[in-house]
Amino acid sequence: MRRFFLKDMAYRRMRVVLTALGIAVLSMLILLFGGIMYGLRWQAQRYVTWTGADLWISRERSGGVFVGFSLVNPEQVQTAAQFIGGRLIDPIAGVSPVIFAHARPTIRRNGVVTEVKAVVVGYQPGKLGGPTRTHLARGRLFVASAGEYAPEQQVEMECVVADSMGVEIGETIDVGGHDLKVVGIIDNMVFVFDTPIIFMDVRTAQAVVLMNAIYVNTLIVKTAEGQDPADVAEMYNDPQRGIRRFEVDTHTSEETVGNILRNFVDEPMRGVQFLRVMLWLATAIVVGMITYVTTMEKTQEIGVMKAIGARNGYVLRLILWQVGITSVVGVALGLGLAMAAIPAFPITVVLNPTEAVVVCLLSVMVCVVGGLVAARRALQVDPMVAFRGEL
Amino acid sequence: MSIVIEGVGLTKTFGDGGGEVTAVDGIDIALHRGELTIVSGDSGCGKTTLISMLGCLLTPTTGEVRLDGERVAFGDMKTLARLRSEKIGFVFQMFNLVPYLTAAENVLLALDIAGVKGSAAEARASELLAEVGLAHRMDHRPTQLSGGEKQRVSFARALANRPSVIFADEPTANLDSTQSQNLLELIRTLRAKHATTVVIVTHHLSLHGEADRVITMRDGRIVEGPVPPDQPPSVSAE
Repeated sequence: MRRFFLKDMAYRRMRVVLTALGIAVLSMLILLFGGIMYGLRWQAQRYVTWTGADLWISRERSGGVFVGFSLVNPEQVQTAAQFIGGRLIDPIAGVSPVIFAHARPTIRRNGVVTEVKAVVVGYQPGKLGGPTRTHLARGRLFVASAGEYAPEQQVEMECVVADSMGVEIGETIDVGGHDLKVVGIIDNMVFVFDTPIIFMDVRTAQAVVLMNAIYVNTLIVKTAEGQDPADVAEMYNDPQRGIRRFEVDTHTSEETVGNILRNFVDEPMRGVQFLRVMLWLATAIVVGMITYVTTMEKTQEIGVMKAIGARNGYVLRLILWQVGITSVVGVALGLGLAMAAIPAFPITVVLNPTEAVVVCLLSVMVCVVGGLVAARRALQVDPMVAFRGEL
Repeated sequence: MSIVIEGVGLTKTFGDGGGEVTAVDGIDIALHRGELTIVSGDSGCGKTTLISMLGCLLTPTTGEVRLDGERVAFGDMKTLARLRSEKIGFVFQMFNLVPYLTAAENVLLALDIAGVKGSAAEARASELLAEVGLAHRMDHRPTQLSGGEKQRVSFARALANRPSVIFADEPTANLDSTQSQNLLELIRTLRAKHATTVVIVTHHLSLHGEADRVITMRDGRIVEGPVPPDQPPSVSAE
């Protein structure tokens, strides 16, 4: 049988090639849309998971530090949080104040000022929230502010920036009217929509994005080894024993990531998901239509096969093998095209291998189902047509 | 000689109500092993309808077909396909060879459908094409063959699964006189070798001399059907 359907495919090669190309383009789009979503998911989780924090404390009912706007007085909450639960808090990382704010810094080069998007992260070096020396691709960490918080204290206007910002060590960027010297570069540190992160001392961040206010946006917590962060969060959220009196909520990292994904990825990407389903439908229709037209064209041939004893199953198998091979080739080609297109994409696209395999299998299945529906036309062919003309 | 295929009270009506047309009207017919029967008659007299019913391609409106003594169950598509594959061979007026397959592959297709595969199938296809004089044309596609050669491939395909009966619908209609004569010679040889029952629908009077029996049809009925002297009456006309 293999010989026959391969010969048929060779005979109708232009149609097979065009069908495979159609499937390839549609599969590529499905994969790329998936890659865009996966890229966004990766970016959305990147910072939160990278910090290694277990808990995120933010202003009560603020929507959280990433989605809403949260201001927390670090001195009140930090001290209280450290002493709840005794040994529960990691003695090294403890409770770390972090500023996380979207900004529009400008870069001045050769007299040309360019505005870029970025996220400012202020943290205390040695605590959670930002890079250590070992995280840097090149350069050094900024000079940390010394001692207790004092708004009037002079801070070093230095920062470490993500490589994707495209600035070099020694250049200055303007954030909130302050010139910050770039002293270090860190790779792959972005928030959603390819927004690069600028790390600086928490004091510096307070100066450039919070007009020297004493607040931070969040306090992040590393629980002691063996402790379930959810238990600690529950303890923090306890109205009597916890830190609720400071009007703060505590969320686990999983909840925080879920909140970011829901707001930055899942909701905005519903349209893209819908489009993917539409593309699958279009793939099935394309394959179905081509299979239908081909089957109609082959009515006489199918009639002859039936006249000489072919069962419906035999004819269906011949057609479905062709649909299957064309689909597999098309989807594989689509995968190749998608991988080739990724570097040229202006935004981050990440093909998750598992998802890519599932998408490819699903695409082949959709094609075969489309072909099967259309190929059912072959079942209705009357073998008597064999008497009616020539092939 | 034993009866290979038998039609009893075969009637086929197309359409319904006022547009009803009776193509075959209550025919009783029996075909014997090794016999060559010519079915002739004007266009539209029901020849093709008759052989389609006998060949298990068309379900009779009334009546039944018995093949090798077994009543054909027209409602069972799988059984019909099996019978067509194993016991019946067809040769069509327009040859109806699959255009993208070579002569050998067209024969192999019939074998593949019947479940004969591999070297056994290859050997059978080669043997049959050699028998029909096309050993040198096995790898040629239908477009590279003459009309006569195509019809020979058609016969080889029909013989592939050693059928009990071959139905040939106007096999010489698209051949010139030389090719027709060559084909007749081939049918003679094949019958002698395979002892296959052959039923030919044709207008060509030249074929009548070859036949054991000539059946003439008119308006869906057999109007003339001489019975060979050593045979019991097997053809009845109403």
